[in-house]
Amino acid sequence: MAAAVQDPNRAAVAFGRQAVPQLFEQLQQRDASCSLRVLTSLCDLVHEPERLYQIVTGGFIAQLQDLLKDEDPSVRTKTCELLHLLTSHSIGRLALLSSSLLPPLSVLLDDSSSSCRRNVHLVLNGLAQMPAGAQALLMLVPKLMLKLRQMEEEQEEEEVLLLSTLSSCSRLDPLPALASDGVPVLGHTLSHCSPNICREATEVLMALSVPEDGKRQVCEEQVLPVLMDLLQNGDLQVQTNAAGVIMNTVIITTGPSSCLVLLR
Amino acid sequence: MSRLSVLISHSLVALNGHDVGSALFYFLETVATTVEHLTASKQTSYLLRISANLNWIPVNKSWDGFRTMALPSYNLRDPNGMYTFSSRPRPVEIRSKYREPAPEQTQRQYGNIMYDRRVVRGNTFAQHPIPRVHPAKQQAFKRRSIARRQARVHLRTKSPEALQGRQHVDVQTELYLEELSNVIEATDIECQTDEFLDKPATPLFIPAKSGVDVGTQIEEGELFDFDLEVQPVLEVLVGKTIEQSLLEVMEEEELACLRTQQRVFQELRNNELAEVQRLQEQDRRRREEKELRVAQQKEALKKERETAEKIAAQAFSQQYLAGLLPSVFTSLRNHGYFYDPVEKDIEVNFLPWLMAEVNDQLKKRFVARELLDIIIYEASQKRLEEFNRLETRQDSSDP
Repeated sequence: MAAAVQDPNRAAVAFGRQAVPQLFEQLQQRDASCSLRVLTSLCDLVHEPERLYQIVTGGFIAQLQDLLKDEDPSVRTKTCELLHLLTSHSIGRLALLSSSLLPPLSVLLDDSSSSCRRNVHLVLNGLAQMPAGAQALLMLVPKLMLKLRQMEEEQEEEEVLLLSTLSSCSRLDPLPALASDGVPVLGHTLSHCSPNICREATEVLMALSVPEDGKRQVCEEQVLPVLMDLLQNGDLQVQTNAAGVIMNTVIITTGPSSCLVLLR
Repeated sequence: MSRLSVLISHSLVALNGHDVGSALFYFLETVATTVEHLTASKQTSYLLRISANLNWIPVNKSWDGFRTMALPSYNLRDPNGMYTFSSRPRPVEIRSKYREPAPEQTQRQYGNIMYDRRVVRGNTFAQHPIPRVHPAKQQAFKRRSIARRQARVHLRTKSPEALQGRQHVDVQTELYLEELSNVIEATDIECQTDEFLDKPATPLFIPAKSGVDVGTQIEEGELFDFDLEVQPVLEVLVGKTIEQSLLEVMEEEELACLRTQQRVFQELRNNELAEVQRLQEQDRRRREEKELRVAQQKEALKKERETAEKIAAQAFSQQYLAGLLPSVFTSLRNHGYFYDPVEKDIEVNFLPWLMAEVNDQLKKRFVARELLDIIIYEASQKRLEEFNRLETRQDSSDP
């Protein structure tokens, strides 16, 4: 038989049940050069639900905590990618929540490598889709708002993911985001040209404008003119979300008056 | 017997060196020697017993059972009574000169015999065996040897001293003179191989042709028909691929369905949320309105009450103060604050004067009358007194 072609970027994978435990044992040895290869193989394996189940039930997730603090940014990126693949299943999400990996992940939000940050945002986004995950991420909302304020122009993907996470969290409980000056910051992001960002930002605004305080802030911060402009935007989602924000805002009395003023 | 002692000493040496094999050999050599030379006497029986016991010496005082098991030494008794000993060849163990007591289970560290210090080097012709003795014993040995030498010197008969002017000289008396020197003749012989020449390339070995030439040719279609054979393989491949892709597509569709469901739910939720908010807002407004109205009503009530109180107070005070003015005037008039000045003047000035004058007049008359009264009284009093006096005189005179 022809020998299996070894991809130099991947570690050798054992057969059957031993694949996952053996790879994690190799990770335990903390060999810098082979960690990346082992992680790549793991990422390939995790696409299969059985392996994912094995990882979750074998309790190997705690080992990943050390890898998140590794010095090599590519190792950190790969670990976050692995975690992102874990969040595609509900047991993975639950395991991720119950493990203590959220604090190290939140530390990695300020990482120097952009691909690492992107993967972290992917993980958080995946977690936030679940109500329990959104609940757990509510504590991170102030930090996320801070990151949003500091976001630069080139980091579009990260911004989109960040805004998506924020919208999921705010749908659950908009008060933390409101408390960290959510409405003004989002007003600034609305003037961004990219449709993805606009869509996500308007979604967050829609969630934020549910409580009365949010509605009042939307009127005060002069966000309504921007929203009116967005109603003529080309993207359907953007229009929908902008309309949603306006729908929420006009419920209070100052809403319609300011809108009518603007329409004139 | 000297040979015996030599053998015994050898065996002791060997035993001391824990080399029980050779010790045994030497010992049993002695047994053989004695058996050969002596009749069955007590000594032989003792020696035989010793040798018999030696066979069961705990050979592994410092050996391991493995060695004795794997490399057994066979001590056999020949039918002749000759002792034979055989053992597998073993390399000598490396042990330090001053040994530690009983090292456990040391791996066989076979040393290179070329570098073993126990192996004798060089010419063995004129060397003496190294006697292994304890230092204390060595001292005793030395002392004993010195003593023995002294004794021997004393016992040995010497040739008498040389006469004066003569000298004794040592001379060889054998037939052939021998050179007595410590210098050992030795010749050095060397041998050296020639330098290696470059070996020429070996010629290609082509064996001679033998046998019969046979040829064969596979025509097309003889082995297998590709189209027929490949069909099941292709079916499996294509089927698996399609199955996998169908699964993936189904998963994607399922995911898309889930997302659509989520979106629909979100829409419904948003609508409901808007409705909820509207109702909330409405409720809030209504509540505020109600509170406002209630407050207003309370205000109005309070004002009304105040007004009523004011009116009541006003009425009462009016009524209270209604008769004030006439009564004031009345009392003032009663107190004489409104007066006719002429009348007042007449009253104040004239009439008192008049009255005073009248009073004076009357007083005068009164005084006059008083005076008169007094005069009358006094007159009457005098008359009374007179009369009284007269009376008494009369009384006294009339007896």
